[in-house]
Amino acid sequence: MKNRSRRVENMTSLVKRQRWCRRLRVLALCVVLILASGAWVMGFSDVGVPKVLKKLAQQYSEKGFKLRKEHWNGTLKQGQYKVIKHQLFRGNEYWFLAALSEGEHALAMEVFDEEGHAISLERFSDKGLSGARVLPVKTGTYLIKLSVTRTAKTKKQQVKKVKKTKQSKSADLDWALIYGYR
Amino acid sequence: MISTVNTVCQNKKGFSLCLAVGVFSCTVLLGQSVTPLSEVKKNQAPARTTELLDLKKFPGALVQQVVVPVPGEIFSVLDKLGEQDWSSEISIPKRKVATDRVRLALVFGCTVAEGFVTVEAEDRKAIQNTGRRVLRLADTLGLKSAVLPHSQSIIDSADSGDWNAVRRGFDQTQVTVKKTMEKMRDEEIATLVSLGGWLRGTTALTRLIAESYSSDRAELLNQPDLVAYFIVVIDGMKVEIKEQADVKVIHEGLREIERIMEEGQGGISEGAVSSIGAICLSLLQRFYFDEEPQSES
Repeated sequence: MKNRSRRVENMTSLVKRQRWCRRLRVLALCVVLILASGAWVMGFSDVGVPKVLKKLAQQYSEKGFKLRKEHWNGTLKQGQYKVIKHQLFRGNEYWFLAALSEGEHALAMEVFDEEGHAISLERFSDKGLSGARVLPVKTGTYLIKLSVTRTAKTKKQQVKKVKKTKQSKSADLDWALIYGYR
Repeated sequence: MISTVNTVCQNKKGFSLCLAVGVFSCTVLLGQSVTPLSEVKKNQAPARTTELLDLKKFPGALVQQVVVPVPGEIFSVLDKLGEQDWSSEISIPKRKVATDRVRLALVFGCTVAEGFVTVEAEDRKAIQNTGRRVLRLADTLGLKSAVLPHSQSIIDSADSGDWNAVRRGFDQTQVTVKKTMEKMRDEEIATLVSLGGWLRGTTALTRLIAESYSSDRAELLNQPDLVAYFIVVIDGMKVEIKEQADVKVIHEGLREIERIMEEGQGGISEGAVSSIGAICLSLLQRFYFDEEPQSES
């Protein structure tokens, strides 16, 4: 009788343990899925506008900017730059927004006129995101330059990141650019 | 990972630890919010930087020759320069949908541009007609399922008078079609969609500028690089596409437009505006407009 109740007790605890295990597996799966989706967002493997850029653009849309549904993308290495030629119209105000697939690098953006003079009125660069505001003084072709630099960090952080940075220095980073006008 | 979980799960303390790690990871990941606009403004650089781009290094890192603007982008400037009679610019053709893929792509671009004109005119019926026509064209291109949600959104948004949503719908339709074609390695056809849209948009633009000419309004036609880009792209197309009758004529027309625009670098004259408009109109009469453009509202 005693043995039987002990066996039942053992069975109950085993069932309980299995139940916990199942729950934990589900939880682990959730964490893996979330991590995977995070990597997906940061890796820009999607064909559409990266989520991080969509989120940023939303703020500008609320300010009355009409955002183009089209986006431009490619890859960049640290120290390299890319230029996009763009027809802009006097009378419109533009915000160009770009994102890198890696927040550890800073993405610099500047808009130039045909003579090569920088013309952006406002700029920002923060955690792999950057933007530039332009009010063209004349209708014509402008050049948007994107370049990757390493984010400024404290010495301690830099030591920690040395290995990683060495690896990512030569790595291709995905970038994407969108713009809005009003 | 699962086996590690099984081992850890042998005691409840391990589970609590896992749970804490899981919740922490979720919080960190979900908390990766985007820099708010307010913070962004604090980081912004002072206005007017002195940076100079060395054009000699150009075009080694060129991504795209010229980004083609959507008609809405140009129309928004025109709207700022005074009231326009957009409804007189609407011209939805009664022509049968073409079956030739090249012509179809050009007509598709024109129809999306027509959509932008109908939005400017805020003409519900014309928007819905254009939305349906877009769907018919997409069907012929074999892209009905991709375009159907956008077309439906255009029709619904027009019903509720949400003009920005309608504009987004037309823009999204064009992007979807172009991206799908690029995926199908049909980049040349995708470019023809943009070209068709540019021709239709420019026709409307020249008419409105000519109606009430001013140098400010005419400046909107200062797009020689964009025209040169289209010419270069056509030059690089497969022989069977660039030798197609419509494309050949468009190529000639673009060369003429480029010449007029370059001559008008100091300012585009009233005569130049009319000439550009006449060229665009004659090109569109080949494949888009009915012989006599009909207004439909």
